[in-house]
Amino acid sequence: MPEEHLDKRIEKELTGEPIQAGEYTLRPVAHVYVSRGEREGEMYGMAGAFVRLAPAAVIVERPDGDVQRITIDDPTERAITNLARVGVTVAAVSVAAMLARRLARLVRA
Amino acid sequence: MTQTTERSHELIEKMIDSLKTDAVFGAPIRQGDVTLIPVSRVWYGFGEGSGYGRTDTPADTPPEGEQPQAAEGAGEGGGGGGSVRPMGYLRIANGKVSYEPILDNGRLALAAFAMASWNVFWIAATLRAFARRR
Repeated sequence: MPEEHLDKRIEKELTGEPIQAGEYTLRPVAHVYVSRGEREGEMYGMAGAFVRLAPAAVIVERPDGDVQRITIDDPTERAITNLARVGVTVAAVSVAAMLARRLARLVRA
Repeated sequence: MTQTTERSHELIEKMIDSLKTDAVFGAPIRQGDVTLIPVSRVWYGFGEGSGYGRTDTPADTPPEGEQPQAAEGAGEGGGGGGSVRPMGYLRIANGKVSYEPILDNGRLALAAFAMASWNVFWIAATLRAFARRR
C-alpha cells in the first residue's frame, strides 16, 4: 500500500449568534486557524490536529440602527511580538558588526 | 484507511464543524447598569498514531515439539493538550460599548527577562569581538 499524506490548513472568520445585551445586539467575530495532518502507510497510521480560536471583533448594533465594529486585540501578544522584533534586530546588528570586523581584519592582513 | 486514522479523521471533522464563537466569547454578566462579556483565546492540539510489525524470525525458541511462531506486535497511542487564556472583556455601560484588554504582566515580565538576557548575550559577544586584539 503506498504511503498516503493529507495535510490541510484552514483559516477563516466565524460570525457567531447575536448576543443581546440590554438594547444592544452584539455579533461576535472570531478568527479560526486549523492545521491538520494525516499519514498512512502499510504498517502504520497517524493523525493530528492543531486548532487556534481567537476573538477578532464584535459588531455592535445600536437601537438607532447604527452599526459599529470594535476590534479585539491582545496587548500582551503585541508587546511580546515587539520584544521579539527588538531581539531579532539586536542579534542581526551584532552578527553584521562581528562579520564586518572580521572582514576588516582579513583585508588588513 | 487504518482504524486509527479513520477515527482521528472523523474526530477532526467533527471538531472543525463544532467550532463556534461561544468558545471565546463568554455569556454576558450583568451587574447593575453594567454588562460584561469575557473574551478569551483558545488553542488545543492532539495526535494519535498506531503501528504494526511482523517478522518471520521467531522471537523465542519454541518449546520442544512446537512449530516456531512468527513474531508480531502492534501498538497505539495518543495525546493532546490545550489552553484558554483571558484576553479582556467587553463593557457595556452608559450607552457605550468598549473593549477593555487585560495585560498579562506575568507573561510580559518573563518575555522581557528572556529578551533582556538575549540582548545582553549578543551585545556582550559583539563587544568581545571588538575588544579582541589582532
